[in-house]
Amino acid sequence: MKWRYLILISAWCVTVSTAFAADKNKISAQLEAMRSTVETVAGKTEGNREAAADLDQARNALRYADDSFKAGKSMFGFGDLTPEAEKEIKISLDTAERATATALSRIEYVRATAELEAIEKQFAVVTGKLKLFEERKAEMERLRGEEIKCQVISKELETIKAEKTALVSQVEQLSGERNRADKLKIEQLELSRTVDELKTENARLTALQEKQTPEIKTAPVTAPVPDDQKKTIKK
Amino acid sequence: MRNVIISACMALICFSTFAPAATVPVVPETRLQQLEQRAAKGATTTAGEYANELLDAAKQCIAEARINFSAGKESVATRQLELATIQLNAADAKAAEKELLEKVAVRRSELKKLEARLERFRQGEDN
Repeated sequence: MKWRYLILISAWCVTVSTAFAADKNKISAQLEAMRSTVETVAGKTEGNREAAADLDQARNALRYADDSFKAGKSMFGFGDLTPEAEKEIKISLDTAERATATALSRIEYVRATAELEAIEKQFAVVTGKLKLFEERKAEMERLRGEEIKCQVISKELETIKAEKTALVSQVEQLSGERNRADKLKIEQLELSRTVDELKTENARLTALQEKQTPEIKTAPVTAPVPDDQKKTIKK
Repeated sequence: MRNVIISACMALICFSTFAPAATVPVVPETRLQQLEQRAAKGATTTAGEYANELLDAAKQCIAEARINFSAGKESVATRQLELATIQLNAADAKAAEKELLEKVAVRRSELKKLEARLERFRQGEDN
Protein backbone atom coordinates (compact mmCIF):
# COMPACT_ATOMS: atom_id res chain seq x y z
CA MET A 1 0.00 0.00 0.00
CA LYS A 2 2.81 2.39 0.92
CA TRP A 3 4.57 1.55 -2.34
CA ARG A 4 1.41 2.30 -4.28
CA TYR A 5 1.12 5.75 -2.67
CA LEU A 6 4.78 6.35 -3.29
CA ILE A 7 4.43 5.47 -7.01
CA LEU A 8 1.33 7.66 -7.38
CA ILE A 9 3.05 10.63 -5.74
CA SER A 10 6.15 10.12 -7.89
CA ALA A 11 4.02 9.95 -11.04
CA TRP A 12 2.20 13.13 -10.06
CA CYS A 13 5.52 14.87 -9.40
CA VAL A 14 6.89 13.73 -12.79
CA THR A 15 3.72 14.92 -14.58
CA VAL A 16 3.73 18.28 -12.85
CA SER A 17 7.45 18.83 -13.37
CA THR A 18 7.09 17.84 -17.06
CA ALA A 19 4.27 20.35 -17.45
CA PHE A 20 6.31 23.05 -15.76
CA ALA A 21 9.34 22.13 -17.85
CA ALA A 22 7.22 22.45 -21.01
CA ASP A 23 6.18 25.98 -19.94
CA LYS A 24 9.78 26.89 -19.13
CA ASN A 25 11.01 25.49 -22.42
CA LYS A 26 8.37 27.51 -24.26
CA ILE A 27 9.50 30.75 -22.59
CA SER A 28 13.13 29.85 -23.12
CA ALA A 29 12.44 29.19 -26.80
CA GLN A 30 10.62 32.52 -27.11
CA LEU A 31 13.57 34.31 -25.53
CA GLU A 32 16.01 32.57 -27.84
CA ALA A 33 13.89 33.34 -30.90
CA MET A 34 13.67 36.99 -29.89
CA ARG A 35 17.40 37.14 -29.26
CA SER A 36 18.02 35.67 -32.71
CA THR A 37 15.66 38.23 -34.29
CA VAL A 38 17.44 41.08 -32.51
CA GLU A 39 20.84 39.93 -33.76
CA THR A 40 19.50 39.44 -37.30
CA VAL A 41 18.17 42.99 -37.30
CA ALA A 42 21.46 44.22 -35.78
CA GLY A 43 23.18 42.98 -38.93
CA LYS A 44 21.06 45.38 -41.00
CA THR A 45 21.61 48.60 -39.05
CA GLU A 46 24.58 49.74 -41.22
CA GLY A 47 25.69 52.44 -38.82
CA ASN A 48 22.18 53.64 -37.98
CA ARG A 49 22.69 54.92 -34.42
CA GLU A 50 19.00 55.24 -33.57
CA ALA A 51 18.34 51.68 -34.67
CA ALA A 52 21.38 50.48 -32.74
CA ALA A 53 20.03 52.23 -29.63
CA ASP A 54 16.65 50.54 -30.13
CA LEU A 55 18.37 47.18 -30.41
CA ASP A 56 20.31 47.90 -27.22
CA GLN A 57 16.97 48.49 -25.52
CA ALA A 58 15.73 45.19 -26.94
CA ARG A 59 18.82 43.42 -25.59
CA ASN A 60 18.32 45.05 -22.17
CA ALA A 61 14.71 43.91 -22.18
CA LEU A 62 15.81 40.37 -23.00
CA ARG A 63 18.34 40.59 -20.17
CA TYR A 64 15.52 41.61 -17.81
CA ALA A 65 13.47 38.72 -19.12
CA ASP A 66 16.37 36.33 -18.46
CA ASP A 67 16.75 37.70 -14.93
CA SER A 68 13.04 37.37 -14.30
CA PHE A 69 13.12 33.85 -15.74
CA LYS A 70 15.95 32.86 -13.39
CA ALA A 71 14.64 34.69 -10.35
CA GLY A 72 10.98 33.85 -10.81
CA LYS A 73 11.13 30.10 -10.32
CA SER A 74 9.39 28.87 -7.21
CA MET A 75 10.36 25.86 -5.09
CA PHE A 76 14.09 26.61 -5.23
CA GLY A 77 14.18 26.69 -9.01
CA PHE A 78 12.26 23.44 -9.56
CA GLY A 79 8.73 24.81 -9.56
CA ASP A 80 6.60 26.88 -11.86
CA LEU A 81 7.32 30.54 -12.63
CA THR A 82 5.53 32.96 -10.36
CA PRO A 83 2.70 34.88 -12.08
CA GLU A 84 4.58 38.13 -11.53
CA ALA A 85 7.74 36.73 -13.14
CA GLU A 86 5.69 35.43 -16.08
CA LYS A 87 4.13 38.84 -16.51
CA GLU A 88 7.51 40.54 -16.34
CA ILE A 89 8.91 38.14 -18.94
CA LYS A 90 5.93 38.74 -21.22
CA ILE A 91 6.31 42.53 -20.88
CA SER A 92 10.05 42.29 -21.48
CA LEU A 93 9.47 40.14 -24.56
CA ASP A 94 6.90 42.67 -25.84
CA THR A 95 9.40 45.45 -25.13
CA ALA A 96 12.15 43.64 -27.04
CA GLU A 97 9.78 42.90 -29.93
CA ARG A 98 8.56 46.50 -30.10
CA ALA A 99 12.10 47.91 -29.84
CA THR A 100 13.21 45.59 -32.66
CA ALA A 101 10.25 46.70 -34.78
CA THR A 102 11.20 50.31 -34.07
CA ALA A 103 14.76 49.60 -35.19
CA LEU A 104 13.37 48.09 -38.39
CA SER A 105 11.21 51.18 -38.90
CA ARG A 106 14.26 53.41 -38.54
CA ILE A 107 16.26 51.24 -40.97
CA GLU A 108 13.36 51.38 -43.43
CA TYR A 109 13.17 55.16 -42.93
CA VAL A 110 16.83 55.55 -43.90
CA ARG A 111 16.34 53.28 -46.92
CA ALA A 112 13.21 55.18 -47.97
CA THR A 113 15.07 58.48 -47.55
CA ALA A 114 17.80 57.23 -49.89
CA GLU A 115 15.15 56.02 -52.34
CA LEU A 116 13.37 59.36 -52.19
CA GLU A 117 16.66 61.13 -52.83
CA ALA A 118 17.30 58.92 -55.86
CA ILE A 119 13.73 59.52 -57.08
CA GLU A 120 14.16 63.28 -56.69
CA LYS A 121 17.39 63.18 -58.71
CA GLN A 122 15.73 61.10 -61.43
CA PHE A 123 12.75 63.48 -61.25
CA ALA A 124 15.05 66.44 -61.92
CA VAL A 125 16.66 64.62 -64.87
CA VAL A 126 13.34 63.59 -66.42
CA THR A 127 11.84 67.03 -65.79
CA GLY A 128 14.82 68.61 -67.56
CA LYS A 129 14.43 66.32 -70.56
CA LEU A 130 10.70 66.92 -70.65
CA LYS A 131 11.30 70.65 -70.57
CA LEU A 132 13.55 70.33 -73.60
CA PHE A 133 10.93 68.28 -75.42
CA GLU A 134 8.21 70.74 -74.47
CA GLU A 135 10.31 73.65 -75.68
CA ARG A 136 10.91 71.78 -78.92
CA LYS A 137 7.19 71.08 -79.19
CA ALA A 138 6.39 74.75 -78.59
CA GLU A 139 9.00 75.70 -81.19
CA MET A 140 7.48 73.27 -83.68
CA GLU A 141 4.00 74.66 -83.05
CA ARG A 142 5.35 78.17 -83.53
CA LEU A 143 7.02 77.11 -86.77
CA ARG A 144 3.79 75.43 -87.93
CA GLY A 145 1.99 78.71 -87.26
CA GLU A 146 4.67 80.54 -89.20
CA GLU A 147 4.30 78.04 -92.03
CA ILE A 148 0.56 78.65 -92.19
CA LYS A 149 1.18 82.39 -92.19
CA CYS A 150 3.76 81.93 -94.93
CA GLN A 151 1.28 79.93 -97.00
CA VAL A 152 -1.29 82.71 -96.63
CA ILE A 153 1.31 85.33 -97.54
CA SER A 154 2.43 83.22 -100.50
CA LYS A 155 -1.14 83.06 -101.79
CA GLU A 156 -1.50 86.80 -101.31
CA LEU A 157 1.78 87.31 -103.15
CA GLU A 158 0.56 85.20 -106.06
CA THR A 159 -2.65 87.24 -106.18
CA ILE A 160 -0.61 90.46 -106.11
CA LYS A 161 1.64 89.12 -108.85
CA ALA A 162 -1.39 88.31 -111.00
CA GLU A 163 -2.79 91.78 -110.31
CA LYS A 164 0.59 93.31 -111.17
CA THR A 165 0.73 91.36 -114.42
CA ALA A 166 -2.74 92.61 -115.30
CA LEU A 167 -1.76 96.14 -114.37
CA VAL A 168 1.45 95.93 -116.42
CA SER A 169 -0.52 94.84 -119.47
CA GLN A 170 -2.98 97.66 -118.82
CA VAL A 171 -0.09 100.10 -118.48
CA GLU A 172 1.38 98.81 -121.74
CA GLN A 173 -1.96 99.17 -123.48
CA LEU A 174 -2.41 102.67 -122.12
CA SER A 175 1.15 103.59 -123.07
CA GLY A 176 0.46 102.40 -126.62
CA GLU A 177 -2.71 104.41 -126.75
CA ARG A 178 -0.91 107.42 -125.36
CA ASN A 179 1.82 107.07 -127.95
CA ARG A 180 -0.76 106.86 -130.64
CA ALA A 181 -2.47 109.92 -129.19
CA ASP A 182 0.84 111.78 -129.13
CA LYS A 183 1.51 110.84 -132.75
CA LEU A 184 -1.97 112.00 -133.69
CA LYS A 185 -1.38 115.23 -131.82
CA ILE A 186 1.87 115.76 -133.69
CA GLU A 187 0.17 114.96 -136.96
CA GLN A 188 -2.60 117.33 -136.02
CA LEU A 189 -0.08 120.05 -135.26
CA GLU A 190 1.66 119.41 -138.55
CA LEU A 191 -1.68 119.50 -140.34
CA SER A 192 -2.61 122.70 -138.56
CA ARG A 193 0.69 124.21 -139.58
CA THR A 194 0.14 123.03 -143.15
CA VAL A 195 -3.37 124.46 -143.04
CA ASP A 196 -1.96 127.76 -141.78
CA GLU A 197 0.66 127.75 -144.53
CA LEU A 198 -1.99 126.99 -147.09
CA LYS A 199 -4.17 129.71 -145.69
CA THR A 200 -1.23 132.11 -145.90
CA GLU A 201 -0.49 130.95 -149.41
CA ASN A 202 -4.12 131.22 -150.32
CA ALA A 203 -4.27 134.71 -148.96
CA ARG A 204 -1.11 135.63 -150.89
CA LEU A 205 -2.48 134.16 -154.07
CA THR A 206 -5.83 135.78 -153.54
CA ALA A 207 -4.10 139.10 -153.05
CA LEU A 208 -1.97 138.44 -156.12
CA GLN A 209 -5.04 137.48 -158.12
CA GLU A 210 -6.85 140.56 -157.04
CA LYS A 211 -3.86 142.65 -158.06
CA GLN A 212 -3.72 141.01 -161.47
CA THR A 213 -7.45 141.13 -162.12
CA PRO A 214 -7.51 144.84 -163.28
CA GLU A 215 -4.63 144.12 -165.62
CA ILE A 216 -6.59 141.32 -167.14
CA LYS A 217 -9.57 143.55 -167.49
CA THR A 218 -7.42 146.12 -169.44
CA ALA A 219 -5.39 143.69 -171.38
CA PRO A 220 -7.01 140.39 -171.57
CA VAL A 221 -3.84 138.72 -172.42
CA THR A 222 -3.65 135.26 -171.21
CA ALA A 223 -0.49 135.28 -169.38
CA PRO A 224 0.99 131.87 -168.74
CA VAL A 225 0.51 130.69 -165.11
CA PRO A 226 3.67 129.38 -163.48
CA ASP A 227 3.68 125.66 -162.70
CA ASP A 228 4.17 126.05 -158.95
CA GLN A 229 1.15 128.37 -158.75
CA LYS A 230 -0.94 125.80 -160.62
CA LYS A 231 -0.04 123.13 -158.12
CA THR A 232 -0.93 125.38 -155.21
CA ILE A 233 -4.30 126.14 -156.70
CA LYS A 234 -5.04 122.48 -157.21
CA LYS A 235 -4.28 121.80 -153.68
CA MET B 1 21.37 54.03 27.59
CA ARG B 2 19.17 51.14 26.63
CA ASN B 3 16.24 53.47 26.09
CA VAL B 4 18.34 55.73 23.91
CA ILE B 5 19.43 52.83 21.74
CA ILE B 6 15.88 51.57 21.42
CA SER B 7 14.52 55.01 20.49
CA ALA B 8 17.36 55.51 17.99
CA CYS B 9 16.56 52.14 16.42
CA MET B 10 12.86 53.05 16.29
CA ALA B 11 13.69 56.37 14.67
CA LEU B 12 15.93 54.62 12.14
CA ILE B 13 13.21 52.09 11.34
CA CYS B 14 10.67 54.90 10.91
CA PHE B 15 12.92 56.83 8.55
CA SER B 16 13.83 53.74 6.59
CA THR B 17 10.16 52.90 6.03
CA PHE B 18 8.55 56.32 5.68
CA ALA B 19 11.24 58.09 3.70
CA PRO B 20 11.06 55.78 0.66
CA ALA B 21 7.27 55.75 0.96
CA ALA B 22 7.32 59.50 0.67
CA THR B 23 9.86 59.76 -2.17
CA VAL B 24 9.48 56.64 -4.34
CA PRO B 25 5.97 57.29 -5.71
CA VAL B 26 6.97 60.80 -6.77
CA VAL B 27 9.32 59.57 -9.49
CA PRO B 28 6.87 57.12 -11.12
CA GLU B 29 4.06 59.68 -10.92
CA THR B 30 6.17 62.29 -12.72
CA ARG B 31 7.24 59.69 -15.24
CA LEU B 32 3.66 58.49 -15.68
CA GLN B 33 2.43 62.02 -16.27
CA GLN B 34 5.22 62.70 -18.75
CA LEU B 35 4.33 59.58 -20.69
CA GLU B 36 0.62 60.37 -20.60
CA GLN B 37 1.30 63.87 -21.91
CA ARG B 38 3.55 62.47 -24.61
CA ALA B 39 0.88 59.95 -25.63
CA ALA B 40 -1.79 62.69 -25.67
CA LYS B 41 0.45 64.97 -27.72
CA GLY B 42 1.34 62.12 -30.07
CA ALA B 43 -2.34 61.66 -30.86
CA THR B 44 -2.44 65.16 -32.37
CA THR B 45 0.60 64.58 -34.59
CA THR B 46 1.24 62.25 -37.50
CA ALA B 47 1.69 59.42 -34.97
CA GLY B 48 -2.04 59.70 -34.23
CA GLU B 49 -2.76 59.35 -37.92
CA TYR B 50 -0.33 56.61 -38.86
CA ALA B 51 0.30 54.66 -35.61
CA ASN B 52 -2.79 55.14 -33.50
CA GLU B 53 -2.83 51.49 -32.40
CA LEU B 54 0.63 51.91 -30.87
CA LEU B 55 -0.46 55.05 -29.05
CA ASP B 56 -3.51 53.22 -27.72
CA ALA B 57 -1.32 50.33 -26.57
CA ALA B 58 1.04 52.80 -24.88
CA LYS B 59 -1.87 54.52 -23.11
CA GLN B 60 -3.17 51.16 -21.93
CA CYS B 61 0.30 50.23 -20.73
CA ILE B 62 0.64 53.49 -18.80
CA ALA B 63 -2.76 52.94 -17.18
CA GLU B 64 -1.79 49.39 -16.17
CA ALA B 65 1.55 50.67 -14.84
CA ARG B 66 -0.32 53.21 -12.72
CA ILE B 67 -2.51 50.45 -11.29
CA ASN B 68 0.49 48.21 -10.64
CA PHE B 69 2.39 51.06 -8.95
CA SER B 70 -0.64 51.63 -6.73
CA ALA B 71 -0.79 47.91 -5.98
CA GLY B 72 2.88 47.89 -5.03
CA LYS B 73 3.97 45.77 -7.99
CA GLU B 74 6.81 48.10 -8.82
CA SER B 75 8.87 45.67 -10.81
CA VAL B 76 6.06 44.90 -13.27
CA ALA B 77 5.02 48.56 -13.35
CA THR B 78 8.58 49.65 -14.17
CA ARG B 79 8.70 47.15 -17.05
CA GLN B 80 5.36 48.48 -18.24
CA LEU B 81 6.68 52.03 -18.19
CA GLU B 82 9.64 50.92 -20.28
CA LEU B 83 7.30 49.17 -22.68
CA ALA B 84 5.11 52.29 -22.89
CA THR B 85 8.16 54.45 -23.62
CA ILE B 86 9.26 52.11 -26.38
CA GLN B 87 5.72 51.95 -27.77
CA LEU B 88 5.66 55.74 -27.97
CA ASN B 89 9.07 55.72 -29.67
CA ALA B 90 7.76 53.02 -31.99
CA ALA B 91 4.68 55.13 -32.78
CA ASP B 92 6.87 58.10 -33.73
CA ALA B 93 9.23 55.94 -35.79
CA LYS B 94 6.36 54.08 -37.49
CA ALA B 95 4.56 57.33 -38.29
CA ALA B 96 7.71 58.85 -39.76
CA GLU B 97 8.33 55.69 -41.77
CA LYS B 98 4.75 55.47 -43.10
CA GLU B 99 4.64 59.17 -43.92
CA LEU B 100 7.92 58.93 -45.80
CA LEU B 101 6.84 55.74 -47.58
CA GLU B 102 3.65 57.46 -48.70
CA LYS B 103 5.67 60.38 -49.99
CA VAL B 104 8.02 57.99 -51.77
CA ALA B 105 5.05 56.18 -53.31
CA VAL B 106 3.52 59.46 -54.50
CA ARG B 107 6.80 60.72 -55.96
CA ARG B 108 7.49 57.32 -57.56
CA SER B 109 4.07 57.40 -59.17
CA GLU B 110 4.65 60.96 -60.41
CA LEU B 111 8.05 59.97 -61.74
CA LYS B 112 6.53 57.00 -63.60
CA LYS B 113 3.98 59.32 -65.19
CA LEU B 114 6.72 61.73 -66.21
CA GLU B 115 8.84 58.89 -67.59
CA ALA B 116 5.85 57.58 -69.56
CA ARG B 117 5.31 61.07 -70.96
CA LEU B 118 8.98 61.34 -71.85
CA GLU B 119 8.78 57.96 -73.58
CA ARG B 120 5.79 59.17 -75.61
CA PHE B 121 7.81 62.25 -76.59
CA ARG B 122 10.70 60.01 -77.60
CA GLN B 123 8.46 57.85 -79.74
CA GLY B 124 6.98 60.97 -81.30
CA GLU B 125 3.45 60.30 -80.05
CA ASP B 126 3.19 63.51 -78.07
CA ASN B 127 4.65 65.87 -80.62
